[in-house]
Amino acid sequence: MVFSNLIFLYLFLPANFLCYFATKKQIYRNIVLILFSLFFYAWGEPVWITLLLFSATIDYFHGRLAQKYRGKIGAKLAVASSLVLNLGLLAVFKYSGLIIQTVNQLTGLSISAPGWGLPIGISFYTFQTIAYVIDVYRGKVEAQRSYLNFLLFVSLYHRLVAGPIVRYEEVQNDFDQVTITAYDMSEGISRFCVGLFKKVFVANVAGEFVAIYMDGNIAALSSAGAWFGALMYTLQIYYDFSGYSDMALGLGRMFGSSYNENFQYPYIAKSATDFWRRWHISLSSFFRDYLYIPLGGNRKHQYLNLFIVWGLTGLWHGASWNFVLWGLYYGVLICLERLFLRKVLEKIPAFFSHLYLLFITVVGWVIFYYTDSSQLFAYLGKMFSFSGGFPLELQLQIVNNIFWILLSAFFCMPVVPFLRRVIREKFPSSWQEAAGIGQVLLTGFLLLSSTALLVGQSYNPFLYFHF
Amino acid sequence: MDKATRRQRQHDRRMRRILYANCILFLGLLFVIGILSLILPKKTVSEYERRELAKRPDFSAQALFQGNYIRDLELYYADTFPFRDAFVEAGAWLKEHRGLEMDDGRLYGQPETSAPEEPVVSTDSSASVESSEVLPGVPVEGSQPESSQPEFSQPSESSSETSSAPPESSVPAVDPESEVVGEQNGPVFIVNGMALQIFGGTQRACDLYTDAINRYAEELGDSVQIYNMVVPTSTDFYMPEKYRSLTNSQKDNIDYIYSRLSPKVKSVDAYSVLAEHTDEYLFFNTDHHWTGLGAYYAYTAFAEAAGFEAKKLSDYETRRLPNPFLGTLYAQTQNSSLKNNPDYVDYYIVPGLESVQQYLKGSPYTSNGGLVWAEYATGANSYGVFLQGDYPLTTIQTNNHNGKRIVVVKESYGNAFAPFLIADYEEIFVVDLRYFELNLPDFIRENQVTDLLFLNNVFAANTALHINRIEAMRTQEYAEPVTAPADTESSSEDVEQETSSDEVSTEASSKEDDVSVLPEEEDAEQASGWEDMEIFPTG
Repeated sequence: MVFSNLIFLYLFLPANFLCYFATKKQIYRNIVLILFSLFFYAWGEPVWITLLLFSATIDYFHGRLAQKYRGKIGAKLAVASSLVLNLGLLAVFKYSGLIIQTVNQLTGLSISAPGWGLPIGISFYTFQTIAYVIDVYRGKVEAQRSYLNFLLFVSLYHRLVAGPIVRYEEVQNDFDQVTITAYDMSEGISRFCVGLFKKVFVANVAGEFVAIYMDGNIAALSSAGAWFGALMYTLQIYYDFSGYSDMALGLGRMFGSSYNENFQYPYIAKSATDFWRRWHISLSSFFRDYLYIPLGGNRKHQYLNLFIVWGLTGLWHGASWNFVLWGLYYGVLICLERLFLRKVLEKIPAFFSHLYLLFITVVGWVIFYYTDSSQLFAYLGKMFSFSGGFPLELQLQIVNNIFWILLSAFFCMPVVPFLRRVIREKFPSSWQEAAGIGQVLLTGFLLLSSTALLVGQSYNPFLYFHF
Repeated sequence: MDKATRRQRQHDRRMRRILYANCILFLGLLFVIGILSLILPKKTVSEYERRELAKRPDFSAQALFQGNYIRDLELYYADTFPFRDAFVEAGAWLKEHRGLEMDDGRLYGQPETSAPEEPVVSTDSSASVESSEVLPGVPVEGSQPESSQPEFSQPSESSSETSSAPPESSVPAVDPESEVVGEQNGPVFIVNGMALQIFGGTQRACDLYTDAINRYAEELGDSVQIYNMVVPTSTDFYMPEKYRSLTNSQKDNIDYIYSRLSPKVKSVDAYSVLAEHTDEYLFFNTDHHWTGLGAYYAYTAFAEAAGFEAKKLSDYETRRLPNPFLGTLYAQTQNSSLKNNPDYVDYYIVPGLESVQQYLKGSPYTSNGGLVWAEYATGANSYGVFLQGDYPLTTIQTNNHNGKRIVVVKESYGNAFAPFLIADYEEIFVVDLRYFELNLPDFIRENQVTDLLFLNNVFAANTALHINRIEAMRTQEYAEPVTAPADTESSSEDVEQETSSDEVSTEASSKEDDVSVLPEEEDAEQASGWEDMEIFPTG
């Protein structure tokens, strides 16, 4: 299931609240959350739930072993076993198609690829449990004794399908006595509604434009249209992913957990290095803590380390070589920044370093988008051919959506935290109350209008079915 | 306690209340709407969308593991959501307020930048923005609510029919590949309260169309005079000059078709006569059809081509449907300027009518009567006033005894046109090319038909599905529907594939889909729009 789904919003979530608050005993509440999480996962993927349970079970034991034999060879073996099994799961269920295809291309064989699709969330929960086992091994956290609690950690639906990749230490105290204050609940609700609206009102609409411009006939595209399409994809991917993270963080908050931020307004960064401190933070910090630093970090063969990390970061995003290319693209940029570019970017006016970042990001997303390299180069070619003028239909699309475009771009900036801080610090308490009332009204508006847009997806006058 | 502390406490209390209000509002909405979604009675039909709403899927382990069950359940839930109409309207409002209009113009959908072929261009080759062959929605007037039609069974039967022997099982496929096609709603440009469909016809489609017509000329020889009329739509006449480049020229397209027709086929120049009267109400603003008046002018053009004198408009009694009319293009866009500019429907009572029979699908030989003017037509289905919508076959007998018998092969544009012929022909056979089940040349010979008119709007003439049907009618043989169960299955697949669209691959690959969520056959067919064989190959 996904969060932007009417059944999730109006049946699953209320039922979850009802069952959760029906009991005060934390163990029952945890069981409720586990059952709802398994149901959530099984909704679209009834088969792959076995994989989730398998991963959770083996890493429960890996964690126990890593603790029991801490400092001894047994702990190392537990980590190694966890890495082999989890990465093995990824290799089989996520990358086997790519591996076989590549082998076929290199050797001329024709091995047939397995027919299964990607099990939902596998990239997230495997990383989450790998980090856990390593943390136990390192003595950073104590292994979870209760299998139930560990299962809850792995399967909790808030973050199961699209992250963030939560570290065990962030949530290790959320299994026993969880207190949910009205403040947590309210903040969680507002955060959730914002994320929902970002997904259905911004990301989905941007996605419609992406389909028009990036999936259409590239040869017939004008440069302006190609740039517009790439910008729309830039909006879509940010609003989609950060909206989903907002919903995950909001849900976590409603149930008494607070996870670390996963996005910090990445498009206001001034360099690629800065961008990756703000984009999908839980992933880049995973690679930093569990790969880059163990490889030697800044101390030993730093540039090689950077390329390994960025190649794998790219590969994590999908089973296709263009993702690796995209990762290496950032690897090259970050190396260049280390070498000299950072000094330049710091000296020139901020406007130009922002422009630099936006430019490389937009081009990066084009690389990210096309799994087919001939399409990729055709599209990039269009973007930089500066041909085709400013077509009428593009003018119409822009004018017909001008408010949406401007607001979507505007809210890529940290407008909301800024306003909240100003109101809290600079204004009298009556303003805070007014802002609070505004927040309540906004919650209602965001929820109902998101619902309207979700219901609207089913509106099919004499056409076809939607999913 | 000093004043400041008291004020602080008061503030804290207020802030706390606000927090509670936020929680109560959110949880309250989830619970109330959630409960209503379970207990409110479920609607089964959406009049505006002209389709049956999804039904609750039957549970089966197989459907669950294939993902169909969940998908169907989600469809059903969304389709029957509480206050769905209000939510849909609110969503459309939000959509419309994403930006401004440009010269009062607003684009819905995208004129395809990816035309597989060249459009028909006479001199002006700068019209580079063109749409694909996939073209907009199709007549939908067949689904009047049952209560409004006391005497006759309707073209669109209630769902009970689907469960028994569905008649479309005998529709032969010229080429199964091309019958099972994706469908999409074509782009629409709304300007000055008028919806103009973006036209993307191409030369290749025209070639197919003219080939199909010419083959009738070969087959029928000189026994019948064949006429061909391709009707332009409002787009060519009312698209502002600045925005012409959004659409291909219909005039060039029609001229090209006429230039390729066999000399045995007489062309009817409806374009010129319509062009002379563009200050009159020729086309609906909110619907893709022409008005009765537009059809009348086309009738005068036909009379000229056929060499008889057209009746005058004043020879008829003019009537008007009492209710305002918001048509298909409003349903597609939900645009407020269309809503504020509804249409009205005039129709003309042509004297000389003696009797009418209309034939449903699956019973091409027995009829329970029929109507030329369905005065009960209302609301979204108002165009159904003409011939009650799209019957596979309508036969009209008049009090003329001049031996002139005409077959009009048409899509829905022909419905408004055919009644004018009552004054001039002894017998009129109106054949809907999408649903007609008999062999057309045989039908023509058996009924001593003297004239054969192909009447298509320019979108239909450029649509593969329609061209294939014209082709198919020349060779098909009618077979009585056989046993019900087998038919139900095969028909459900047809329907499903026609109803699907850009999700074709998903839909077409899941043939085991439960039948029950699908709209009934007639709706689905009408819903499927002009279709295209290249864009979406079958899965």
